[in-house]
Amino acid sequence: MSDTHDVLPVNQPETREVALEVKDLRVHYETPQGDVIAVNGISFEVYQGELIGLVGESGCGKTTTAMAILRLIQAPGRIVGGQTIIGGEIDLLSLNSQELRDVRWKEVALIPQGAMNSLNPVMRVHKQIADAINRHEGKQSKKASEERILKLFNMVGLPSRIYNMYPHELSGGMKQRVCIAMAIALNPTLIIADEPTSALDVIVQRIVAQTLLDIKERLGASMILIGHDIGLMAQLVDRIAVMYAGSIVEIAPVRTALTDPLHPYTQLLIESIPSIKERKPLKITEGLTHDLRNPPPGCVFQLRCPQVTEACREVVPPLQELKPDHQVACHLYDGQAILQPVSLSGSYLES
Amino acid sequence: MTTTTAPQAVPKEKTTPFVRRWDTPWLNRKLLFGLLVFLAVLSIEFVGPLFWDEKLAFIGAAPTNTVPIWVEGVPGPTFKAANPDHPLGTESQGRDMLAVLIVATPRSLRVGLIGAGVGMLVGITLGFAAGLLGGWVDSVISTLADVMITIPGLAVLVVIASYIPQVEIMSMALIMALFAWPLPTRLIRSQVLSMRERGYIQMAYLSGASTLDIMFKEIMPNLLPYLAASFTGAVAAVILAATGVETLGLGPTRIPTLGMTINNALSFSAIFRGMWWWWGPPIVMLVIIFISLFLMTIGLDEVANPRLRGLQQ
Repeated sequence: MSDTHDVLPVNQPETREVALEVKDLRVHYETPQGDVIAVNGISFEVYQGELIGLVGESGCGKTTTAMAILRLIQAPGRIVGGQTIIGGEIDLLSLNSQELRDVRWKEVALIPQGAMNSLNPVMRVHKQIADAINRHEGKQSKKASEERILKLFNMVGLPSRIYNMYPHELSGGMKQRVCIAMAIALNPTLIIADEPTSALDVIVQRIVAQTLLDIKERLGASMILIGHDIGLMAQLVDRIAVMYAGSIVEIAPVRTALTDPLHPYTQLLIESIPSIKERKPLKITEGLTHDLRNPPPGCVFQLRCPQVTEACREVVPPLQELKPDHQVACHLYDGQAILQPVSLSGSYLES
Repeated sequence: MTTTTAPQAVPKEKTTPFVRRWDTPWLNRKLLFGLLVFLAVLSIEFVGPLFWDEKLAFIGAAPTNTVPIWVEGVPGPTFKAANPDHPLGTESQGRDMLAVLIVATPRSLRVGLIGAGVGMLVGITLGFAAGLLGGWVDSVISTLADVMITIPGLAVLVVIASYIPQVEIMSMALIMALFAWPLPTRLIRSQVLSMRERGYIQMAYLSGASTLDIMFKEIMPNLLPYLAASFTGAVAAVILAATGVETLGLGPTRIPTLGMTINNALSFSAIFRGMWWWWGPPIVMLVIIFISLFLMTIGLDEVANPRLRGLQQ
């Protein structure tokens, strides 16, 4: 399919509206030994109604990216630069605190990592959702608010009898779904789900995942799904972005990423997924991730990459579009890009 | 998936079964008993005047040096035989001891409650400010509280109290509050610090809650048993400090308080003269108050910390 698309300029399958555009986002954590570069100038788009997965090993900056989009980075962390533009107009990173309070949750909502402690133990669940609604839309009448919350419960598959319950009376999966209901209460443009299923067993994981898909279809909201469960991602997301050491190394439609990964890191990542059909030795990449305080010049993956070349040690590979919708940051594919972005590729080959 | 077809009315009786009402940690035996005793002592203020004349508590209102009614005979030449009009006896200035207790106990309690109340209010405000705002606000408040904790309170209170010519109940309470705030401030600050990192506080913050909302709607309800426990502790501490200052003769001088009664007994050598009915009753009353407050504090501690409940039931 991708072969038919070798005409240069219009490489997008259909005209898609951008829900979120992240431009050159940088987040540093200050330490006495120097700044830890947790997110190192990443850029990507999330289209309207799309579910994009953000994968990568622990500590690669997935959650930091999400928190930065929500402007929830706390000291000693700090957003050093970049833009996160919602719906083509609002740059979340340049809002003052009052504007931010208005926009957040209405435009971007979060489904938190641990639903277990994301609900206040001394408040009834309906009250917590009602509070979120009231803060943005003013005080609702009791009846309207009840109707609305029950509708939300219905949407996420929760029985109406939990309306008056306290969080400790709910199971883990139910709590997670209450959090989902809370996230969709204001019909946000973008929902960020930070490992929404990590503390649940596989059956409940499936139910929650199904709920997420359902919600996405019904509301037409975009979603960023963070996690390292590639199996789950494969079933849920439309596109997948692979992060390594604070940089995005590859973005591709999920099918392509799984069958035809381009970046060596993605290849190793996919290969490491255990299979129940065949026995295969776990392939462990040699070497460690570099010290994030002091990244080497050139490619972020050079210390562990099996196919490392001279160029990788000197020049940072730019994220370039190799096939329609398939971007990769690797020198292996220099010169093959269908749409050459402003890149340094020419200059170092000659020198 | 268990999807309900349409949003229906909420079946309220189903969600909170009747039985559960009684199964709450607040029905703690120590807490209830302490509260009962404390309320009984508190009710003296309202019940006392109904059957006893409060005016008998003033100097010269009764014959001097009468022994309590259950004492037979007269212990010494200066004493008068028991008089049914003054069941607990009278002291050397002609105050009726029963009337003194009825007047003094509520006064001492009031000093404790107001002093601890003001102290807690300041402590809650500063503790929340330090915990939530952090930064230099936290540094200033914490340092101030730390310094205040190390200063021996009684010594300073003696100096302050001796500066004020006519100490009233209210001014006494406020002087005591000066030293009642640092401990609650530190305790509440540490609780807020741990509380604000919880997921639901982050969620509330994210969903647009203001700092005040987070303080009063999200954190405060979680801290209620904790605040109650430190309040009862503070009441006991303030009464103790106030009694100490009064015993030294620096408290209110017109209206009797428990500490002032002890001071009077001391200055009239009641102990040497064997007038145990003078210094005894205020001490017994203080002990009752302290035990009730102590029981409430332990009870509330158990409410706040389920692990302490352990083998109780």
